[in-house]
Amino acid sequence: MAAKRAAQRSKDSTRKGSQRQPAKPKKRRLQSKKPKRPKQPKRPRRPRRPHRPERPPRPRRKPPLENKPDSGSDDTPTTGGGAAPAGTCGLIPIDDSIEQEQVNWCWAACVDVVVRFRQSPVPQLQQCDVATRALGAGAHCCSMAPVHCVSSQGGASAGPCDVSRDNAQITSLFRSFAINAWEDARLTEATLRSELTLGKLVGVHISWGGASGHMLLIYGCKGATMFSVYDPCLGAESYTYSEIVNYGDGEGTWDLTWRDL
Amino acid sequence: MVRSVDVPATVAADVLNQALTVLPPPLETSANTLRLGDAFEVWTLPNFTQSGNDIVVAAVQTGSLHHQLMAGTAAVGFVRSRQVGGGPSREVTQVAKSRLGERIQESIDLAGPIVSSIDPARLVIASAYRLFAFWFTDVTQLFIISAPATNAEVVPNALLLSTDFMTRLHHEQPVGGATKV
Repeated sequence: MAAKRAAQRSKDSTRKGSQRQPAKPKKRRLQSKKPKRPKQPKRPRRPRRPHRPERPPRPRRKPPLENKPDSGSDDTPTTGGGAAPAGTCGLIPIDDSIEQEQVNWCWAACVDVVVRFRQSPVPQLQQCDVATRALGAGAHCCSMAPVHCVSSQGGASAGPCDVSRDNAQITSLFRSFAINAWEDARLTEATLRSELTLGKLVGVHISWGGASGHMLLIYGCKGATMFSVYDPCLGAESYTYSEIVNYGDGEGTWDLTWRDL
Repeated sequence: MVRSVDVPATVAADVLNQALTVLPPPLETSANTLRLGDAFEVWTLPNFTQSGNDIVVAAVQTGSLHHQLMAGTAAVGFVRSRQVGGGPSREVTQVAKSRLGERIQESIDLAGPIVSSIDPARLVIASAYRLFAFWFTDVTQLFIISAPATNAEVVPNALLLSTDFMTRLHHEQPVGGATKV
């Protein structure tokens, strides 16, 4: 009898091991939860001054002025009142080593990176799980062999899940993971810096002129003039603002933004 | 032979120094091992669909140089720089840790023995088609460095006459990726 039970247990565990477990629905993240930020070293306290000379009250600092972009809709206030934050624009520690696993999966890789970063504990999520969620339970995206985006191989046929998604579908996909993304026009450099300082990732849509496009994430500042960009095809990059606006050696244009990531 | 652009040592040193200050996070730990490798002019094909099969008409020079970023003998990424003013000085506009650097290095080794070009090779990029190729202008040939795995006609490691390359490229589709409605 005991031997029979052991044999049954072994059979069960083999079956479990060979089947993919469906992604469990994640708990909705509280909106008030602050994003992770790298720890800042403690500053030594300044000694108190014995007496402060009379001084007129300092005017409240205005939010940074923003040049209106070409699309003209960059006047939406940033979350948190739009005020410039007191912190510095550092690096948001995403996993920038993730590569898109199919020719058209820039969107799946970007959503995967954001969800892994925002949800705690880090979900056991794969890019193909993201694609399956986007395309419906009937799509078995995890059965496709991954391909490198920068490729030395040719002649492969596109699998049924290797498809593009439009901006509205990508926004819905973010929301299905309880990330309240919303779409905006191209951000000004000041707004971009402000968002990153608040610890928010910025999703970027690059248009190649026709129907095709690409998705990127901006995840930090580099020096005074550059930004850290996650390109799921090319890798982790540092770019000037104008190079992001004219991405792809001037061939592309940043024409849409996903905010509150 | 895949010839690269000669960049004066002082200019190369300045470009590397600039790049070291803005390394993408995955390269920060290997900063002291990095050096610049071969450099190539960057050209694009922004409106090639309206340009027929003549790459000389279709190609546009960006003014950028692509520098291979090496850690020892391995290519780990690339740096792009642009001329400042009229002098030799250059400013860094992009630094990347990318598989593209490695792929370009492989292509230099693969194309070298089979191409008889003596002019510096140009790096041709068609971003919408996610295509990278070396263009050997004096022998009117292109070597495909990287192309989508699903391409049928313009495939990696192919050495094509420029007219053949353009004809085939017209048959390929741009990569959809993320579209906008």
